[in-house]
Amino acid sequence: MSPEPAAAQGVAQAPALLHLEGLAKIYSDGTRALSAVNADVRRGELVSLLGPSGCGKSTLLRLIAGLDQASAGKVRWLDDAGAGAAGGEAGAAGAAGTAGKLAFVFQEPALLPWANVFENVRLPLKLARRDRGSADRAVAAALALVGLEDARSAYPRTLSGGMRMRVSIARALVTEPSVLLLDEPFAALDEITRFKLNDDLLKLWHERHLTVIFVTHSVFEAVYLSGRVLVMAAAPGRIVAEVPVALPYPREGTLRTEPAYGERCRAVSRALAEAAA
Amino acid sequence: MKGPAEKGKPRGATAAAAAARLAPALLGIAFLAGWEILVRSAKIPVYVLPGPIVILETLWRDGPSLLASLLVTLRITLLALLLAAVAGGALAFLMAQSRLIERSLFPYAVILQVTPLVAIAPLIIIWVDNTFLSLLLCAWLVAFFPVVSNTTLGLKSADRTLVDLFRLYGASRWQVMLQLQLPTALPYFLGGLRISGGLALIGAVVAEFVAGTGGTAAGLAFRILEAGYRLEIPKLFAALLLLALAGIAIYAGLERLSWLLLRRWHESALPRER
Repeated sequence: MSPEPAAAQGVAQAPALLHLEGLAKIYSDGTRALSAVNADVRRGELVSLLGPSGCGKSTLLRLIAGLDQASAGKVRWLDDAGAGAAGGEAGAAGAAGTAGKLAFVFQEPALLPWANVFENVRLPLKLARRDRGSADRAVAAALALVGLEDARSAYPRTLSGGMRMRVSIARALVTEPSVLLLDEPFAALDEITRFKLNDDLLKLWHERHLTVIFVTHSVFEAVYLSGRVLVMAAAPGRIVAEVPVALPYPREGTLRTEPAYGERCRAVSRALAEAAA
Repeated sequence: MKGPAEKGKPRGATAAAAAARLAPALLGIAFLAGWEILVRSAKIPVYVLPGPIVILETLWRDGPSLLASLLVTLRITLLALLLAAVAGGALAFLMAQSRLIERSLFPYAVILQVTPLVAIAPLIIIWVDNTFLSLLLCAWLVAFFPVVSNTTLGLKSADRTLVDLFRLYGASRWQVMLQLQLPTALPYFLGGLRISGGLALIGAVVAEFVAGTGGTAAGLAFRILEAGYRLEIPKLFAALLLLALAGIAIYAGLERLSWLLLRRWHESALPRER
């Protein structure tokens, strides 16, 4: 495998989809969670936000999703068809406006404990008042994507951590989003399950032509998944480096043992260490 | 849903489970036997402390008339509990709609709760002409607070991440309330109801004591008073026994209701072995 710069899925040439302009977030107690974040995300890209705890990477993702409002700056979606035009300015209303186009996978699976797998995955469609027949078909398709057809009537408490996260991912995919935001989704899982879900995510990203923004604190995970790693530093939270990963897709588990992969991991680790210094 | 762990139980565990079930029964029997022996050997007169056998005989003899009184008390208790569930749930729902409503109403709910029933029961009985209604009001007063306070807590306990998720999908306030807050509050509501079940019975008994209604409408509490005045102590114990059994039945019924509604998902209804 060649470490030469290679455009993954022609992403380098793709137009920008999301534009972050001088984004800042100051909490009411005066904590500066984010300061002057500028970045572009291109259509079809898989980009990671990597940084230590408390560097504001989750906050940044929430601003992008419209779950929180920025204190300054703008989240601009450059394509109406991409994720809705409402973006950051409208805050919660923006979140409503982007429903369906944008999906969020949280750190915890965040499933309704009183609903079985099928009902949990159906939730976004139910909230959007989609009719029952087409909703049921979409749910069945989403469950098939994550390999959970047989668990449809199981309740969350009977599932393993990995399976719960799969349900969470199926729920995110059921609205057929074009943009997927993931906030350290696999941090609580054992490494073997995490590797498996990493591969699943890559496959879904490729097959569904998703744009993915992936928040993680694992260098190895960031390098394995993404075409580009945005390295963040804390106090105040900001993006300090952009490291292209330039390993060709599709990527498989064997990549983890290859020197080219180790080299990228070292490069990203160095950037992270410099950021902390 | 039964896990595979259910089948593969080691033999020692079943023996321990059987012992755990038998132990309280054995203790009860030992206690009753000791009581009977003490009463007989010390020749304690029946109007001071009757033995369990005399009490059971009395229960058998006066059973029908005591049972009729129990039904009077139970009718008040269950109706008060039902009203507490409805009114308590509704009040909690109302308070969850706005912080202002909650702050205005909750202090008064607390005041009602901390005022001793025995102190206000005479007033209520004077003010409300209908005896049945006045007793009902007394029982309801003590029963409704646990439902209100628990359900209010439950409605506020929705998982933050799930709230975010609902927001992300543009859920309306009403959808959040119905599909997230209400199911979250259900175990809290049922917990409150279990406390209220016992309190409603106590409330009904206290109110009957204060009202002192005799005649055909006499509840079990009045029969206890009456038996006390007449020094019919075995009858007093028999009535007490019925009252305790009724309380246990109410509790068990509510626990069963709670299990039926929560068994699929809530921690409280999970099998122990996990």
